[in-house]
Amino acid sequence: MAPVSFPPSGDRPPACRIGPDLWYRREPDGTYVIGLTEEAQRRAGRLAQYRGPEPGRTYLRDETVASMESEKWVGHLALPVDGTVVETNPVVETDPGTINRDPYGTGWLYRVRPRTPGLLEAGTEGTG
Amino acid sequence: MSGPVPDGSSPFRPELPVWRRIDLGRCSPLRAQTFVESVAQFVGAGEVPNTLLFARPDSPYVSLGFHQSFAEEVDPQFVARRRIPVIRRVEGGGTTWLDSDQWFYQLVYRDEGAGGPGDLARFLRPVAEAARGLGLTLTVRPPSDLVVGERKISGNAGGDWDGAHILVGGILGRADRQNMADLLRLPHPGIRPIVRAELARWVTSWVDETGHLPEWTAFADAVTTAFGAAGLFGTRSADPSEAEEAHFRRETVARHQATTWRELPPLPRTASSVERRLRVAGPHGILVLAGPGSEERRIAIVDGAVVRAGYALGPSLEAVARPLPRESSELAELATAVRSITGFD
Repeated sequence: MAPVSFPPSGDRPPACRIGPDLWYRREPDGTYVIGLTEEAQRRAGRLAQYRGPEPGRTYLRDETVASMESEKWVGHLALPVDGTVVETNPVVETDPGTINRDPYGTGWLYRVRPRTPGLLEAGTEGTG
Repeated sequence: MSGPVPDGSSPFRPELPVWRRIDLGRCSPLRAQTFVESVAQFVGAGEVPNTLLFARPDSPYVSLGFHQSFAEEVDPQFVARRRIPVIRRVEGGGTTWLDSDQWFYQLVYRDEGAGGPGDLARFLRPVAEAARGLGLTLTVRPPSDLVVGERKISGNAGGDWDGAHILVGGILGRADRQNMADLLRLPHPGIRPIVRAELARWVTSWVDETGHLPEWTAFADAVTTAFGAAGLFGTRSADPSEAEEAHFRRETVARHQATTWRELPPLPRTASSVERRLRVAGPHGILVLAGPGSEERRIAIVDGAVVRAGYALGPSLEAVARPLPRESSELAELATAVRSITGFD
């Protein structure tokens, strides 16, 4: 499994956005690293709790895979594509504030292998 | 486009959006706490208007926040002995004791407000105004409390569910501090009197403040009127739809009765010297830390980032917590230890 390694550079723009809430970056092995956008983390406020998806499990597009909580408000995140979650970020599960501090770096959420290769690019907004 | 229909409680302001007002009245704990989840399904799908609900549970129960762990939070013997149901809500926040002396207001909406913590203050201000009209001055303490002075009288929380935003809150008509403290799982029985004392200090109720309870309907009408007066929405009275009732019976009740829902595994924690973290009310809380000796504990009473008092507790289950003297080196050491820990802000 190729390791995911981002430098902690919170001001670096994401490769692509999926709506206002998520960004993704394609890895050489065809998987995608998914994270929360700067805009979404600001709207959420200071995150205190995060429960991520189950590594190794296959989900359907739009299925809720993660939840987060800030200031007593719970939000949910859906998977943007049919696929298998191959890795989650243990750092954000023990310290959800990492998502606020470095949403495009160490605050990434999970890595997914889409059921159909390349499908994630369809209908997303490229910025990188 | 039609305007709000006057229903005797909502100010007639044709320019305002029209929400449904549903009074569930006194009902089971599960219905009082979770019927909003079924309403959210239909509000989120655009099949029914945004909705304001009122409810009172007809018996006591314990409610867990969405991310909380039953195993970490609740004393299983307490709830088993008393046959108290434990309900995991889909909204955030902490573990709470709820009973028939608390009045719930719940908002389900999808197109007015972005959702998220910012909505809490916006919708809580009218609730505070309603209370003021009934003779009790409440203020909003961000992010989610209503307080009388510094003392909490109402806890509130929110969440996104099935395409809708849900805000749930309740006013304490009376505060059962004994059960609020007794339901908690604590690492040592000597901590419980401290929890009770802190609840007495920081939690109040309508009866504590005024000596009486207003009529339930007067409270619900005042809150409804206040939302209109704040320019947020008018209401028309309604009953739940058949589809909402069916969804509640078929899906919501089933989910909440599943052990897997109630007993979700705890979230992973960073290794820490904090054995137990108890939020009493807003910025006021209790931290239980390992003490200097084997099986000793130190208990920090925290207001925001400030340690107001401290206790030492030995391993014996009969041990009583010993207050750490002011100006003592023991208290200073505890304050230093707590400084590196996130407080209650």
